[in-house]
Amino acid sequence: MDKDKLDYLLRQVEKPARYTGGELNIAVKDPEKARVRFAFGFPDLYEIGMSYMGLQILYHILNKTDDIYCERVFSPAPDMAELMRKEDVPLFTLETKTALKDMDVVGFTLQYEMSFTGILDMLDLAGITLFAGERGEDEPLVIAGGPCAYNPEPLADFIDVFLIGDGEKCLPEFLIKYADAREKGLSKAEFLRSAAADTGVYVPSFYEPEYNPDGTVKSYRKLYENAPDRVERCIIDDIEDVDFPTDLIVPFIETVHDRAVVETFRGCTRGCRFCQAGMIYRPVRERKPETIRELAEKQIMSTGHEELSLLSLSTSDYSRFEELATGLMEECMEKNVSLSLPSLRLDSFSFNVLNEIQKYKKSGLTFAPEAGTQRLRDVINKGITEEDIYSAVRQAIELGWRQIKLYFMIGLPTETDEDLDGIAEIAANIVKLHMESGRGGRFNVTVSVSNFVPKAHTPFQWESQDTAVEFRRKHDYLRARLKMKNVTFNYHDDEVSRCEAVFARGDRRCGKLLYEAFKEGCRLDGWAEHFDPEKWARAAEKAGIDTDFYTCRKRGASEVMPWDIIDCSVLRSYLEKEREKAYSEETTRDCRYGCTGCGINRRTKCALGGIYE
Amino acid sequence: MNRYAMEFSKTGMIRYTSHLDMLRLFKRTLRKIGVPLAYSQGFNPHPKLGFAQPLSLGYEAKSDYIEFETVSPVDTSELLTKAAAAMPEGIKVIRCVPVLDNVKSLAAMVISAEYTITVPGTLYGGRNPEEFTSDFIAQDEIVVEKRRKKDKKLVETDIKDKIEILKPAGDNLLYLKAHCGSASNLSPDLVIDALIKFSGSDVRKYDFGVSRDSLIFSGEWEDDF
Repeated sequence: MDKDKLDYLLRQVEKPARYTGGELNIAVKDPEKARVRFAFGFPDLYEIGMSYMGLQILYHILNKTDDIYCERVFSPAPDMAELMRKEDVPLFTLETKTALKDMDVVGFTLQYEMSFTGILDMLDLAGITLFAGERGEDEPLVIAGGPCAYNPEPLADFIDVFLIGDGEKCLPEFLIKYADAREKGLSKAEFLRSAAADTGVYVPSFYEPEYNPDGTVKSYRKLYENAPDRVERCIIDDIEDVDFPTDLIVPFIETVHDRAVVETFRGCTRGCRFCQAGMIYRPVRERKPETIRELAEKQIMSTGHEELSLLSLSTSDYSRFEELATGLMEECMEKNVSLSLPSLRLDSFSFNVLNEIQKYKKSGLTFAPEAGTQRLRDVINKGITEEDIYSAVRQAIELGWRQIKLYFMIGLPTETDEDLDGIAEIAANIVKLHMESGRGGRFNVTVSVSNFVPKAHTPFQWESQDTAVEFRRKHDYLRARLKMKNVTFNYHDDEVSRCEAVFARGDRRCGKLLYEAFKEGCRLDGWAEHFDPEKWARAAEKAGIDTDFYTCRKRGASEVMPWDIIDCSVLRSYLEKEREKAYSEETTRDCRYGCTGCGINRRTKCALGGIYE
Repeated sequence: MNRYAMEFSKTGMIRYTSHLDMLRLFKRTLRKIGVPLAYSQGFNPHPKLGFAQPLSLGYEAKSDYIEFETVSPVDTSELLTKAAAAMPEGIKVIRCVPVLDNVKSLAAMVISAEYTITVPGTLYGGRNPEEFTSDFIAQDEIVVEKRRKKDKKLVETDIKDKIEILKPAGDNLLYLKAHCGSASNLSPDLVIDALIKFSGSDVRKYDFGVSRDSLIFSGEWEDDF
């Protein structure tokens, strides 16, 4: 692209380094020599996308081979997007400043529903035809993956192929297969047919949804006979077998997470019934402590980062956590690197660790009880008791913590006002504990409440979300009860949560809503300052979409779900059973203490299932 | 005390990396190559390093300096080799020298700077560049609007005395020498504003480019042992 023109743009925008590339450890290659050029698209700002470890993992793996050149592209901020449109500069990759439309394949990672409009905006800025069905042979193949691909239908009109599951193996294989096909002169359609039966590959154009008179999905009619009835997700059986990056890209500008990161394990055995990640990333697959330590050391060496963090769904569930934490603490101390351990379960060992690593600067201590009463916590299978919290808080106060953060969800199935009272009670009790400790001084409890969004592939996938009116009533109810000294109350916007809920369980018709929202100018909807409910309301009207149908409607037990086409390898019967147990307030144990029958072991080895039996 | 100064240039795309981000970059790079940086004391220790003079976002620098302290003496030629290999594209390290113990910080010694300003050809409005610049300099006062730091208000200020030399330096290039540093400072941005105002043409600020070619210090600081 024209360097002078780029300069002219960069001189005018905020944080121009979002668009320059050239950071430490980026892949520098001769694009001519790659058989396939791939743009990794993150549909949000650079600072968000560069904090996402999945990007670093896949970037590293793809660029290991000379056959593939993986470059990055992010959503431009509104000031840059406006200038690009005005000056007719198409969206480009950071590495080589190549126009996106000249890439072979453009892939988007789907981390959260509210970034979907960003995909349309990026395609439009790139001058790539939005609708997959109208895209030409000379345009890139547009693919997508990530957790939101487990309900791909709202994006089906715009995406040629979804890749479901762990990407480390299936993404490079898919790209090479595409290179082979194009070199042999196959058309895109011919290629898609050849790839349709591969594990993890969902080609939406090979299926046509049919609807019942009441608007629910009747069935998926196959338009290509070799397409599978259900698409199985890709699973890496042992994550020790796949490479993990040590040469992380180090951004120039500050990002959300600016640190060395090692993934300790994938998956979670806790079985919280609202949690999609807990279902779709099964089974738990751990890295060895030696591997983790080695990766951490190499990352710190190659990046110069001053902070190290561990990545997993639940840090202290790592089977050899004490050994690992002790080793890393020593290592970090020696190297003047600070260690950050998110989502610790606060037992006595974790406390010692936390006290050691936060010796001088104690950040807030965070608990996520998610619900205000034991009854409701049993319903959602969140295995944390009030006594767990209080004993941890008592210790924390003794050790000098002065800031406690509590996370709750409202609108959970079977919730009553009593459960909301429970939230206020917990906050009040914690303040009381501080009073009783006799250690005056500043003390603060922050209660953050988010709105429950039922997700696909969870035991709560059939549940209704609260109406906007109900959410607001509950916010008011809580605000009144949390007007206490030393307590801060935060809550999420209900409009955003409802919008998220539409796409979380939406069907293919929601693509129309997305398109209208894009035309209304909706962008960066995950950002409070950019989300505009009025635009979304107009878009729903134009698209003829009744959002209540997707949000506050309880699904029938035998209803065909739009995401049934995706097989995440957890049995539907397991989800149904878990849902029944939720209604009878019955908990399910962590499956490290004995298999709970989710069915994942039909597909792959479940190495940690039942280890404490 | 082990004080060192490293001279470097900053060209190409990396000029869109801000002052604070450049500080982080140098901090990380020096850590990465094993330089034993000295840290400040206290609850929030930070390494002792700083640039001689901040550089505006988007400007190139032909010769810029970063000063730092280490807990033990370092081999400067080895440091330079390692730093050269570790720096991202656009940062070239030129030399690394010990700083005399008994001098002020480099930042306190900067008094002026030399710049090359790339101007759009239409700035001169068909006039001879020599004539244009000498007429510009010959004005009784050169008043521009400047945003005051304390209350963010736009105030008028006369920058004439802070411009030491301004003259053409080739096709569409101007040479500027101006006050720089903590005592008296003139941002080339203001000179560009004044040039646009003086020319009366419709050139845009974004059509200009600035390179800071050298920093001039008030005294000797290099330890040449």
